Amino acid sequence: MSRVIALILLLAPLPAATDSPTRISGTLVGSDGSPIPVSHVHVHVWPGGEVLASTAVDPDGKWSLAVDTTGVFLAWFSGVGHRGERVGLYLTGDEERIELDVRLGRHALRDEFDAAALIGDFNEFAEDRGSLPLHQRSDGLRAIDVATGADTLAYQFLDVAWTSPIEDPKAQRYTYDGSGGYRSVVDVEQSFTTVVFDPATLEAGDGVGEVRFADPASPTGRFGVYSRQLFDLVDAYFETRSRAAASGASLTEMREIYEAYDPAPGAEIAAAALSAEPDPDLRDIILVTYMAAPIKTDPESARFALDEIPPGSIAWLIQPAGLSKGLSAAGDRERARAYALAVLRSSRAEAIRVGKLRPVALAWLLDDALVRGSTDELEAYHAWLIGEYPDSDAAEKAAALYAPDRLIQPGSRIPDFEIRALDDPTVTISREDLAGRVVMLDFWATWCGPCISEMPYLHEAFEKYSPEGFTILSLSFDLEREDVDRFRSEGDWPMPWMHVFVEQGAESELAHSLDVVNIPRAILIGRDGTILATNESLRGERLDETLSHLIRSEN
Amino acid sequence: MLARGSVGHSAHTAVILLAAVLAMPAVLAAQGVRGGADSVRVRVAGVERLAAQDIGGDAPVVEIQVALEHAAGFHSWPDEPVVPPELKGLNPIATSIELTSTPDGVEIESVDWPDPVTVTVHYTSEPLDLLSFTDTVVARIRVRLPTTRDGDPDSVASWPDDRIELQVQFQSCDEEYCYPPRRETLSVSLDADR
Repeated sequence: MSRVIALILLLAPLPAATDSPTRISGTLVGSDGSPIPVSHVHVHVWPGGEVLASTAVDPDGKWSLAVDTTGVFLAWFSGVGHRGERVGLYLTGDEERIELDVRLGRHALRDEFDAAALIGDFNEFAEDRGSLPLHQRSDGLRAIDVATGADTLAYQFLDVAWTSPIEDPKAQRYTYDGSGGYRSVVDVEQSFTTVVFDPATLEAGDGVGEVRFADPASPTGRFGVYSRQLFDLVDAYFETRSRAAASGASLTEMREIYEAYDPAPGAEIAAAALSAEPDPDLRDIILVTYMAAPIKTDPESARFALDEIPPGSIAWLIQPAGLSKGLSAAGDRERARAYALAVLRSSRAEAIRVGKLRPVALAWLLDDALVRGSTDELEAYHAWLIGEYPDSDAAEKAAALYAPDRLIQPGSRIPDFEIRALDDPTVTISREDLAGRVVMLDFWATWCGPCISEMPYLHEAFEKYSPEGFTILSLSFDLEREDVDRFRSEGDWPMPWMHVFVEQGAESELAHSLDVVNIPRAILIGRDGTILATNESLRGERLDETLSHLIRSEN
Repeated sequence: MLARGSVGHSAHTAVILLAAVLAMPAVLAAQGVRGGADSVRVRVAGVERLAAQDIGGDAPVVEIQVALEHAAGFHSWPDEPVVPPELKGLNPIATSIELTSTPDGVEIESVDWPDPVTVTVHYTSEPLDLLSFTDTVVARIRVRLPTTRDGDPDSVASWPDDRIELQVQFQSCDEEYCYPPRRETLSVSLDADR
């Protein structure tokens, strides 16, 4: 076998050029079975990257395109007024023709449009930043004036349908939005454009579509059927969340939805696909795509995937996030650590190195070292990540997390300090006063939203670990010390631990000496004054995990 | 549950343990710039004289446009913050503008802020929408000048040849961290057209 062929086989699940393009064709119709005037088919790199091939659907609803690479892809089928549908494509080059027929459902619209907003080129179509709320006019319609310096305005309506932004049926033309929908485009004739949302122009449906393969038993058909089931599950989960949010569910209730979400159906879908799947590459692909899906993964399935997929499998490169999620979801740090190290040692190192897998494994190991307070490993993984993959996302995150020359980080000794207690300014607190206890310095303020969101975790940790010699020293950057008193006495969070009011806040000598420029900032100090952990490993749900490791090791 | 060696056999379903872990927790935040000095840039974007007759007054009015330019990923509370119940107890620092140094008779007539926009933050256990200022927001401050000595409210020559000082206060956050409140002082010439 030549080296070229060997390499192609090695890289089979990844996009690779082929001399025999795969012709994919079929029909695309709307909810009533009729062709949709504006409709398209796009084939992306999985799970939604670059568009490799696309075509407009003919007036008779027929379409055809050729893909001249092998690998794993995502096909999006879209039509104006309809919800887009997607399906996974596993193209090996062995199937010359693939036929599939698609029917799109009308958008499932919300019951109320009070939260309807506009996104567009003015905010780069970001759904989480800079959307413009639509205001109700005297005629009952909702509208917004959008100032623009361009000749055209492109936009979508947000929070009108349950699952995705949708186009305006009154637009002059449409452009594909990259994920199965359309952006509305209108010409701008003044310095601003008034966009009006008129529900009467939208035809509502159940949002349910269908994708049928002519040969569901083929490799492409098998992966396609599996991917459809997985997508349906993901969509149902997100629609449940959207409905809960629209009905005024609190964050706690939203959290409960996630906690109560049963991952069994996802595992069943993957298991059913595996049960009859003889192709080892496709088995790995099924597992990787299941692991990477944005739904809950049960630990048992994660451990199964780590056992089943060879650490050097190129399938991980299809969706490296699946590796990260699988390592964390396994709930077994020893096992996950062994797997991550095996990824680094893999004989397919060259293929992995050029991809994104090794940085992912290194980032997980670095995070694991942080949780365990292993400074030697921290330093080693950090140097490896920064040295070999300086441009990776993982390296950027690692640099923010750890640097060998940083004053405040695990392994360093906390600088000496002397500060006055909030409750009794005649009492001072110094590093020596804290010796013998595991203390978390918690820099915060009542004006800081992220600090408030830490309160449940701080209180839980204090209650759980204070019997083991753990305590918290909160250091406030508030404008007035009374702000702290009011927060503790009038709110839900009594913070029954030590407090300090930091005069001059971030400009204080204390803040400078402890390198605190923004909040919340946390520093965990061991019984001998050594810094055990900082910041991210002490926030949110990670606080409990970090404390459970480090307090145990301190004891 | 996924099962080993399941080719050719139906995998059975078992009770699945629930896990809260979605992905490796992000280690997102950068150390940032001390004091968040780069998070928001405040500048005078324009000064315009409004003709008294056009605004129905008897004294000249100058409109000062102050721009708050947020760095990518940053947002600040608007002029009238709305604290969601999920952040009960939060003591938000509203974005504000006030005169700190004025010639005699000069006063702020109005400060017009744009509507806030929604910013979704993820530092809570579930994404949370906050009405915020982000990107570039421009406040329009109308400053009423003293009635001119020559009786002509639009007489440029009779305007006070002075500057005023505006103090802008805001407090910014990014996805993970918040920076302490800042006060920026802007010195603005009222002599818009000269």
